[in-house]
Amino acid sequence: MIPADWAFATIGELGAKLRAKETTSIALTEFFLERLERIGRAHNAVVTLTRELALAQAQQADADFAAGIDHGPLHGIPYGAKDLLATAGIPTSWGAAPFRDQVFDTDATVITRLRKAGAVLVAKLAMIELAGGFGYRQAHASFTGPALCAWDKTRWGGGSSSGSGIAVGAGLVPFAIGSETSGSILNPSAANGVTGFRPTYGRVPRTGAMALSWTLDKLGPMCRCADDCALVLPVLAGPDAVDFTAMPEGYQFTKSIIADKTLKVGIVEGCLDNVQPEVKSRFEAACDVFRDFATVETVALPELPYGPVVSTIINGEMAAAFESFITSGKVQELSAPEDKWGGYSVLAVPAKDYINALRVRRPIQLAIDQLMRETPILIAPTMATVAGPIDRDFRSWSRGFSSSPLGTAGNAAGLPGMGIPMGPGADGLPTSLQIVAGARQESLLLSVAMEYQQRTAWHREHPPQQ
Amino acid sequence: MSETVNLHRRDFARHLTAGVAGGTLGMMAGNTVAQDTEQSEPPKPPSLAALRLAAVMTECPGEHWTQETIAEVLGDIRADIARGKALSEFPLQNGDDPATIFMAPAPPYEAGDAE
Repeated sequence: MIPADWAFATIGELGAKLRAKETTSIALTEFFLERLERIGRAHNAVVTLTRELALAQAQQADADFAAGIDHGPLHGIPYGAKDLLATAGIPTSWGAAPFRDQVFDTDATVITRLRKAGAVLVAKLAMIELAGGFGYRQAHASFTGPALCAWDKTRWGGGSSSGSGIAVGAGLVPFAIGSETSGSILNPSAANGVTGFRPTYGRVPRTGAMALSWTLDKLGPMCRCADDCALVLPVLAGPDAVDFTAMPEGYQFTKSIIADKTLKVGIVEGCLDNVQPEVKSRFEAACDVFRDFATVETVALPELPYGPVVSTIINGEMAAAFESFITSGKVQELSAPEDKWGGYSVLAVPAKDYINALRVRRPIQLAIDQLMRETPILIAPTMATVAGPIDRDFRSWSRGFSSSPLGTAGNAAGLPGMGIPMGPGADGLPTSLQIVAGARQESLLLSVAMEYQQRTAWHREHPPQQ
Repeated sequence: MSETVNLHRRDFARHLTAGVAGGTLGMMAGNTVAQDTEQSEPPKPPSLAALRLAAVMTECPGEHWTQETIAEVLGDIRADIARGKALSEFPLQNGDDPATIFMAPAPPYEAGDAE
């Protein structure tokens, strides 16, 4: 019998219990499968439970342990994958009704790597249909139903990696894999109070992942803490035979020495202008924590057209990726009314606009790189509000609030970023701190997040046991 | 509600089908370019948004083109045009090439890494 509080244990803690023979991978797998079935379904967080595969993988993990073979920190640990990652012989729906029966005959590269690392795939997790590219405006934008926040089922669990955020937040899996084109890992991490990690563009190969925007899509882990992200990322990263944008070098976490307040951390100027009061006070408290180990100052992001660049690139690339889906009329089978027509305008975006967006992207990279040579870490609230009501148009409950452009800028420039819990906000729901580092500076980013989480316990908070 | 929205989708489709797109687009643009009007003024071209809308509706015909849908798609197109204008106004030099970022060179790795 697994104690109930193990639902919120870290990868490191569960790994220690496995190696101490306090439990088995089979027992952990059964434990999380039961929670996914009972709680995950109620939150609309699950598309497919991979029970048969999971039990086989767990059995193999236990057999390997018994034979003295240890595949590393993920060995025997259950996890969930956003349902845009191909899994051989198991449906991969991309969150969309027209693709609900789609089955690939190969695994996505990250799925293969996690299997080789001994991790146990227990579920394909819910997501906003087609990763949100079609312009959804409310939570009813997935064929599995609206994603209900891990903390409060009357609130939205964020998107587009909705199920990944909810499943980690509600203790249904120790970690999950999400994807981000522009906000889709950090947003649900914020809504559900988990630690989400967006790697540098190209750090993790995307082979087998649904493409929304080839030059913006990233895959990354969603975990309970930065330490766990540092365990998962090395398994995901590394060169790939198919994804030529994947960096040739692999990734190993090396803890950065952060001492004597030599590290400069920049608060993005204006980032508190239009946020909920509780988000503001939590962020100010977080800044005080940073001042314990870093020099904190306010910096201005260069004034550049981050939004037009990211939107135009997504539009241009999704028009190509989904052209036949849109023109054939299949798009009419999507769930959200606005998604049924949200793909039309992108068909008419001229090539010169798309190319100009890619051209402006370079000055954006250079300007931010210049800023980050002086200030290697930038911070702002991840979201301006806590999770919004499940039954209202986003535009109604978010009116008057706005997040800083740090998230959009980070995605435009391909920079790594994290969303980490910074304490309860309005109605006791999680608020989140966004941390962004320079390209390929994942180790610094993780080290800074670890410093913060060593000084706080917000990442150990979780919803009441269900 | 704009004149464009008031153009019934069946009328719009009929105009397109009849090959009188000029007339349709003129109506959408709120002018009378292809109608029997005085010949003294040069015809005004249809708006860019109307042209793009017509292109999309031609490419994706169907009964789903309700007045509400037309209005929403037209709004999206106008936003796209505004974004394109913002990008065009950004000071770029001729040599500023597009950035497909962090592209790794063609890998020498063994095929099958991804299985």
